[in-house]
Amino acid sequence: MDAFLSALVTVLEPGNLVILFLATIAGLTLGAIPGLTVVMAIALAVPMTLWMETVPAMMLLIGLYGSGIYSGSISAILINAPGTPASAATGLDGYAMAKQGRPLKALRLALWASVFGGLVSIILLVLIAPQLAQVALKFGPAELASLLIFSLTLIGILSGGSMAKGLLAAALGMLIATIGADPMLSVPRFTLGYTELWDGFSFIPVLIGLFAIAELFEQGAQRFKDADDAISISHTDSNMNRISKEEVRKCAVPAVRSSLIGSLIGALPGLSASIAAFLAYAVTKRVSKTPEELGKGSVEGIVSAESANNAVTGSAMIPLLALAIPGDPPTAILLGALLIQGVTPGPMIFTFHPEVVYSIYLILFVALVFLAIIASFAIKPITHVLRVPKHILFPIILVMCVAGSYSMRSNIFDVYVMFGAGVLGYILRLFSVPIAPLLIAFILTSPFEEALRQALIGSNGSLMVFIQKPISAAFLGLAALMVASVMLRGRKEAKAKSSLQ
Amino acid sequence: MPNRLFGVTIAALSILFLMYAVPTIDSDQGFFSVGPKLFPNIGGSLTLIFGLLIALQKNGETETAALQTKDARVSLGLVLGITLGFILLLSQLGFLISVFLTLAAFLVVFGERRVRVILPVALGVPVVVHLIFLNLFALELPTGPLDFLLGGL
Repeated sequence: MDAFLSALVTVLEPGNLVILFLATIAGLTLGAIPGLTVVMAIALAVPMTLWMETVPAMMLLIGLYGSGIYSGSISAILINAPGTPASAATGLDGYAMAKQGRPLKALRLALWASVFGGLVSIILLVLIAPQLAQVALKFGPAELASLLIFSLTLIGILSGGSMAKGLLAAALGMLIATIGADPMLSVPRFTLGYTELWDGFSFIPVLIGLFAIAELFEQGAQRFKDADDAISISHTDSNMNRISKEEVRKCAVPAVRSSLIGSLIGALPGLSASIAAFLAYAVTKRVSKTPEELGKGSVEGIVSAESANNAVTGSAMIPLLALAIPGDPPTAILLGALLIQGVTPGPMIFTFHPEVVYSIYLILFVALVFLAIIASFAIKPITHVLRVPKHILFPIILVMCVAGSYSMRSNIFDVYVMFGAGVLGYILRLFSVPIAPLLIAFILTSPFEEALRQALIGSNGSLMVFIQKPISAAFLGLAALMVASVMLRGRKEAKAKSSLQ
Repeated sequence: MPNRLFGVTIAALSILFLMYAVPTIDSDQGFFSVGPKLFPNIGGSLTLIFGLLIALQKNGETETAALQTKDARVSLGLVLGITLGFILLLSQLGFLISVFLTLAAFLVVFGERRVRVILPVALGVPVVVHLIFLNLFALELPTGPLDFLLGGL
């Protein structure tokens, strides 16, 4: 109770609330611009957290995360170009509704669905995370290593596209993380005589390079082409844009169902908010009494997609806090930021840093309240950001990236690392290799290597230790089962294709 | 075809990594049954396996079509060149001058001709970012030849 009260007092400090307020506005603004993803916004904010205490740092990042996921729907609804991939499903009905002269209604539905989804996922986070952490307390090195193998496999397989490419990305992340002194004997690996490489690559330049610089190159190759003109929300019929009681009733069940789907997806490593939104949308289309309306400006469609994608924000914290396993890039960044702050997530965080856990619960909740208030009143000015030309915006972002990367250690070497990571990220994008598994593997490799080597040292090098322990064997079995099922499905699809031809 | 080439390249690089880079690690593992080479070997083997799997895929998806036009390749080259130039100039000319030159170059190269846009952006952004880092985060960005001017800030 003391920890909760202490967290409550810290979160409600005026200075911290100002940070959350500004982060919410920044998230709403940046997330609305197509091409500026929420991940990029959070990545750019991480260097600022170096000079902050843990709670304000989390307020900045979580404020950006929650509002950024919602605001992707603004451009999805008004210009049919989702600000974040998670909002693509919202655009299916949102843009259609906006074209029918009801853009404000679409934006309001998206907002309230987002807030509802976020609330459901926070409740599940509070209920599930401590229980999961209790189970995780029983894990030894073998179980932990197997859990990490399972998680990395899941992330690699489910991050979209080909399984081989997802797993390749995870393997590349592991390789990059092995650069520097080895974690047990401090033997240098691939340092090439550079003292800067003894501690390995810093998290911030790698993160900024992979996401922000790679995006700069991609947008540059398209000559920073701007999106189409936005649908105006200035002169709209207020009656047409009011949400009726009947519509609220119609949306209630899809909102609850989609929030639960989003929460479940968010709690699993590797499944992103965009998958949650499309899955919830597909389920709603299947069970709706009026499926023919979906895709043509349906309230159910908007509510399903938005409540699901925002439900991911809270539940993605479940594996992060309980197991120190980030499910998606934003939570991977949060994990990195917590580690920079000297707070190690995992089961012990509930014992050693309960105030941080309570703070995160409270920040998620207060961030939702701020989102609801700010987005309700400031939606019109925020839409002006859609008009900022990309050829002005992206060079400014480059300057922020360089300053942010340099600030980590006041070292120009980190700026070179950022550029290298950007080139790598762009090449991987060109060949449709997902970036998320690389980043997550980069962060998880150090604990993975320690756990694996501790387990092998304990067993005198025998791999049987991973089979003899039931929990460890179960995780490895699940990982093998997933790989086998994806391979079987791929073979079936190939057969079906060839028989059709 | 680009997909197969990508897979083969990854596999070839993995073989080179396993043959020439991993052996450079000191193999003394002390009292432990496994040493510092274990993880690089695992990582290198995995990239080799997945590289080969990608090379064997018949219809692998890629986004390389985005670079099929000459215009796109030239644009990408310009962005890469300006970015690299910025980074290389940063330690020589300092943050303020290199950012001014970079922003001006970016804006002009990508079609901005209005001086009332170019000048405020190219002059204002470096000053604002420099002041934010100096005053808010107490961090000095490289000053370069303007050290005599900025040293007193």
